[in-house]
Amino acid sequence: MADLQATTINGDFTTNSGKVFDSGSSFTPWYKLGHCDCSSDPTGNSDCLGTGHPYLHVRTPIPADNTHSGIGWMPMMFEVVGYHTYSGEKFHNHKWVVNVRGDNNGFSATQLSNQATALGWTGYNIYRSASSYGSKKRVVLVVPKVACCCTGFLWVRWSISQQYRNDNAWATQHFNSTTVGY
Amino acid sequence: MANLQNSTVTGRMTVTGALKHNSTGVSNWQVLSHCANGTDTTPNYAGGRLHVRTPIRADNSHLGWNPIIMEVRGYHTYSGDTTHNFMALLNTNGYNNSFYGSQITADSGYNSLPLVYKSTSTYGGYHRVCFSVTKVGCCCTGHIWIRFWNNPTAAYDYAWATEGRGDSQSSLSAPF
Repeated sequence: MADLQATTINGDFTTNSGKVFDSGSSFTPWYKLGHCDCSSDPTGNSDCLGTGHPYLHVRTPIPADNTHSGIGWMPMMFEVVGYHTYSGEKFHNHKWVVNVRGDNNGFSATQLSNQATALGWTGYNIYRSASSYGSKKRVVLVVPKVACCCTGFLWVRWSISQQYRNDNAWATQHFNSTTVGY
Repeated sequence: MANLQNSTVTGRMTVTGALKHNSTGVSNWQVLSHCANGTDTTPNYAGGRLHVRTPIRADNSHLGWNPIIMEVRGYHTYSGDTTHNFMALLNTNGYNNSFYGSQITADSGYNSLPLVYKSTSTYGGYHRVCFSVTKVGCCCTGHIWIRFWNNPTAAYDYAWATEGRGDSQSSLSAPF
């Protein structure tokens, strides 16, 4: 692995498969995900059958627990951008402040703005997972989606705590609730 | 050209060209100016609208039921007589290659009045996605930044271009 000091590149700098971790900015690189879920629901509801649930839950690798992660009193900006379906029936451009209280481990996600969409906050949420994954509860993002495997991506990033980007696997699953899932 | 594997830069890394972070699916920001030459000079100084020709092909070779989000931000004049802050979903019909027009799904800033359209002429063999926004009839300071979400390499397919016009959001006088 090359370990460079201050470097100037006269021309373009291209990353094709890896990521640029801009530690100086504290923001993570954008993480790209899809909306489609055809296999996770035990009752058989599936986006491939047009019977998918209306909300996509994105389980991030961020620990939502002060005990394990030490993120108490260290709020982070959490952003999502994206669209679902060919005509953008769902369009995401939302921000939150996500925080864990340092004294009592309480989780909070404050809605900051829905600066870009006519949908407002309907169908959006951020919560702490009820179960543990990799022995920690995780920050879960909820966005609305359409019950089809139409094209559509979402991108997620946050500030502070870049090291948690690979703390656990990402996961997505559709649910019929904005608050209960993982 | 250096071809690096995993690398760490301890300190500042300066890129004088574009930082193409393709693996995220998001292009870098392209910065342009509002000060433009125009064949239509009413009002003076290249009209009241800035038209931008992007490198995105307005057909199935770049789109085709695989939309790209175009994000635009910016301002014109010292006091921000216009500010731009919108996202548009760019898409073409995968069956017949028809271009979906202006799908502005975002806040449009202040006095920006964005309009997205397909170029009339071809550039490099393809029609291109263009848009226009309000500008002030002067070469005052003011920049506009554009980036794309999904298919980021499309953003480097062809040269960018701008032109001033005296048209409006509802009465397009497409220069491209």
